[in-house]
Amino acid sequence: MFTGSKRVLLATFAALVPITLIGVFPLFMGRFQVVLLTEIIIWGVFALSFDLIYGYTGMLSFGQSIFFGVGAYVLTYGMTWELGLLLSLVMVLLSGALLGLIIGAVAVKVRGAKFFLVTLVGAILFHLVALDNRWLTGGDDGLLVPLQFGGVVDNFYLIYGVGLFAALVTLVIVRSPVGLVFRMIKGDKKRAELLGYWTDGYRILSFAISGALAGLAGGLYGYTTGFVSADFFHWSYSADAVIWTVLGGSGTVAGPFIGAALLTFIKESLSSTWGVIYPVFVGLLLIGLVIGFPGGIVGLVKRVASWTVSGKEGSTDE
Amino acid sequence: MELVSQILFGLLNGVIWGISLALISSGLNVIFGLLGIVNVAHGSFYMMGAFLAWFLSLRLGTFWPALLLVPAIVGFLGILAEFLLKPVEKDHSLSVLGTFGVTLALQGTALVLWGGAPKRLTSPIQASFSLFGTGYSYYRILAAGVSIVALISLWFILERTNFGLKLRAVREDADLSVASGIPVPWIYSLGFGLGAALAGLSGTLVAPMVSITPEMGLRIFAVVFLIVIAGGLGRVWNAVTFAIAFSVVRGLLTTFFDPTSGLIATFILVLVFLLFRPNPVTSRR
Amino acid sequence: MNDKIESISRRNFLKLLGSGVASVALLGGRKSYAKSPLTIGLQVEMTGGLATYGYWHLKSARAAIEKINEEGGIAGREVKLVYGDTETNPAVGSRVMNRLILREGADFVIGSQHSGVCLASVPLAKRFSVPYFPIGEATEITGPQGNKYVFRSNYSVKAHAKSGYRWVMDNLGTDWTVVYADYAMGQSAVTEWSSYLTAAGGKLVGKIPVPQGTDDFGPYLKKVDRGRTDVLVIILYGPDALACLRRTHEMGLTEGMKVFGNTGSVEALDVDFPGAEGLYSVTNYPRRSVDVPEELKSFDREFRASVGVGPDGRDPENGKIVDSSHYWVPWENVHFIRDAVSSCGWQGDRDMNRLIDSLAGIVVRGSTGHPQGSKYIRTLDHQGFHSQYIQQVQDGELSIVAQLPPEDGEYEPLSVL
Repeated sequence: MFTGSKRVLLATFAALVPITLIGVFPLFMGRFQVVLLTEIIIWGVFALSFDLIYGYTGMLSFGQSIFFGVGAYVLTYGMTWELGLLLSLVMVLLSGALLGLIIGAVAVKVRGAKFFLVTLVGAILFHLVALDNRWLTGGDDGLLVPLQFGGVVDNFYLIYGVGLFAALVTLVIVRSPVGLVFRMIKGDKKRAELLGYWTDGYRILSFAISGALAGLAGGLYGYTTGFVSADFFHWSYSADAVIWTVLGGSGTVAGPFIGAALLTFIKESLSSTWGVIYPVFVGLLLIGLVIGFPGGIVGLVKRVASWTVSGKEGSTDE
Repeated sequence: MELVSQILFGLLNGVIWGISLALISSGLNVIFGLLGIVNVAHGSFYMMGAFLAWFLSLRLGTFWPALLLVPAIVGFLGILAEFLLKPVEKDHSLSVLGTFGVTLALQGTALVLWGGAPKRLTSPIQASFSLFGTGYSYYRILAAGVSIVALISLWFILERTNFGLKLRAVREDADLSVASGIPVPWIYSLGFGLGAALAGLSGTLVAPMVSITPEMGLRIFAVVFLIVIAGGLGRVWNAVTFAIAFSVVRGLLTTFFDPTSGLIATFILVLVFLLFRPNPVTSRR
Repeated sequence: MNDKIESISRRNFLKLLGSGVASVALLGGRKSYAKSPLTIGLQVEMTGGLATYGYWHLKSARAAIEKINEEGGIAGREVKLVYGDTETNPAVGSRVMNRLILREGADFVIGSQHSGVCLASVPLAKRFSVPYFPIGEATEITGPQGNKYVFRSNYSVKAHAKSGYRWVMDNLGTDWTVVYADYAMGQSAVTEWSSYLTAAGGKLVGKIPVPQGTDDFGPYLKKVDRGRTDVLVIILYGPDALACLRRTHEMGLTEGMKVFGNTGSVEALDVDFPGAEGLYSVTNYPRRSVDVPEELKSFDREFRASVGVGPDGRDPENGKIVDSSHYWVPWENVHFIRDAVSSCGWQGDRDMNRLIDSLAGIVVRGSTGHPQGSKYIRTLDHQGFHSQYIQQVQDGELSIVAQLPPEDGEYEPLSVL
């Protein structure tokens, strides 16, 4: 048991160090690094939203871009109607959650490959609808977000705060009894049903929370770049979230952020010649991860840590 | 009168395109419907097929050898991909991820090798005839004919040969297959290769009719999956029927209504069908 | 050879001079602008749907900067090029814009060919007060979505239509059927072309939208009313345009009907195939040097040689075909920057308003730096106006059949800055 509490302490410490470091980052780094880190936090929140339904509840969805796009547009209209940032973000969260409830209620009817397909087609449909309704979305020419940009560093701390809040809320949820049921559904849906849980209800719930988070990411992204377009609904955004999560480690809160940060940094540091083969690299990376390291980076670190800390094969329930 | 000929043209043309779609779908039907591997990379095998057909035709100065060479090469690529992903092929989520990796790698490779500019392959048969008052290339008819021959051969392989029997058996009772001496890993490899080869053949056949780009695989893979699942897993002729139906409905809806709304309507139709259709796997005898 | 040696030594001299000034300034404790190079950023499509354009835009910008540095730089400062791949994707393009400005320190950014990337970058140009020269053709970029930092020296969708519709009506016919891509770019182009057509008494016989990513154009082209259509107008881009043209030929629509394409239809495309033969289209600049107007020929020669484009419009090294309608834009924008900086004495942010004033309303004549000929950038919305050409595919080659003067393209500004 004491190895357990020791591990919690270690994990808290391991989390606080990078969080603090990121917090003081803008004091030392150039403005572009700050912008890049801001973007990474947003993508991290987006990937986290996917992790919640995949890593925790076991549903491989390619539909996260739906919520991302809706969040971005709700924020745009919130700012256009001069509701202020806070109220706009609240609207973003609510609309994401509501849409998550609706889409979740439809999507949980199917499982496995069908589920993947239904969410993918959902994203394709939303993208087409957004393209087709230029009066509302501006189509692929998009809309400008009317905002008073407070400066690169100010915006960083705003996103940093919201991102931290999102990560903490997610952490609380996945550690709560609700989160336990999520994981039980992922592991063995039949058993969860036998224990008397309304599994579909829990799956819809995880969809709603995930929708709110993905919407939040979209809203923050629109706020940061000042521009939204129908492109945001394209399923390739969902695919990015999937890749980041799998690389960082699914079923963990830190994983999605680590994956998003790592791939964004790799891409940024590649020269233009190497940039051309980046998709090949990501493809091979994904294959390698799936075959060799399904736990991603966090899974690898945990395995190494459990060897060194406890000196034996530690339990892998996290 | 004008409208009638437009609709008739739309119907016939839709059937012809539907047969190409049926061929690529049948490939996925073997991989996903029979073996149960969720192969997101199927569209990329089709894309590779088109690129290789273009490349070989330019090198050899003639199109026809590609009809045999390309399916062989793409089939080999398929076997290679399956070999890599063997450890995870039974897990739906992991095989989506793994084959998505294959997709990115293949598409990226095509981009590096051949660039992003759309490629054009001159049709090997230039002659055309009049179909409801407009020209229609004989090549389209030939492509459909070759597809039908390939589909009949597939049906024959699956239903009338020893290999087909094993292919259908491995999924339903893997333990029994092992016990009865069927080399299960080999059946999976060859089945996956066969499916990929069909996608490659389909890519070859459409190469002279479309603009060849690295993105063409991603554009089609969702549609192919829809057809295979909605049409009924594992059944050759069900998928064919559904592919043709899809092609015709999409053609008519997008031509005679606002095209994007037509696409939306088509996808909603399929989605509803997908959600409310009883699971086709269990209804299989 | 002599020229080269001379220019290098001159550059070295200027460098020496520059460093001398700098050290003096350092001693005086004041920041000197003349020491640091002037940085020009380029958003370029190296991968994704428009990579064929990006290949040339990078060559074009590089060549212009090399040339200007050989001539002594801009206002005595060496010019440095920084660039980033937008992947033909607005989200990535927006990040590239941030990087070019904030990390690479770009004083100016020459934009992307992709309208979505441009529209996503326009707010950043304003946020960081950096002059931005988009290449994308969406009319709104120098309209309601634009701002005072945005200058477009090439034609918008609306300018193409305004400049071209009259010639098409007079020479090809007044009864049109339009086949177009059913998304923002195609929709706005079809609106512009058809409203000019109908206002001038022409007739829009049919309007046939085609969904994104169409392989099979048969059913759409079947809707063309052959008896009543003089001109089949094709507003499609890249692979779609190619597929559509081939099908037009197969279906026999090219007989008894003229086919006319918008600017992107045969851009950077090999046109030696049956469906393209006879096709008319608009272009900002001729693909082949034989078609360049006499008075611009010497400038064209130097321009092509610098960028690395043969007289046939191909890269002599690999045969790649140039996007003739747009590849001059990065080259010319670098020269616009030079003209404006030299004339207003810009040294940094505090001179920004003077710089904007000198770019707005700038008028140039044909020269090596402005090979595309006489043009002006309008003060009201910072949209440029220049000559446009009508080209036709003849024997598998693009040949110019008409030149349309800059004033033909001028339209009422959508909004005033």
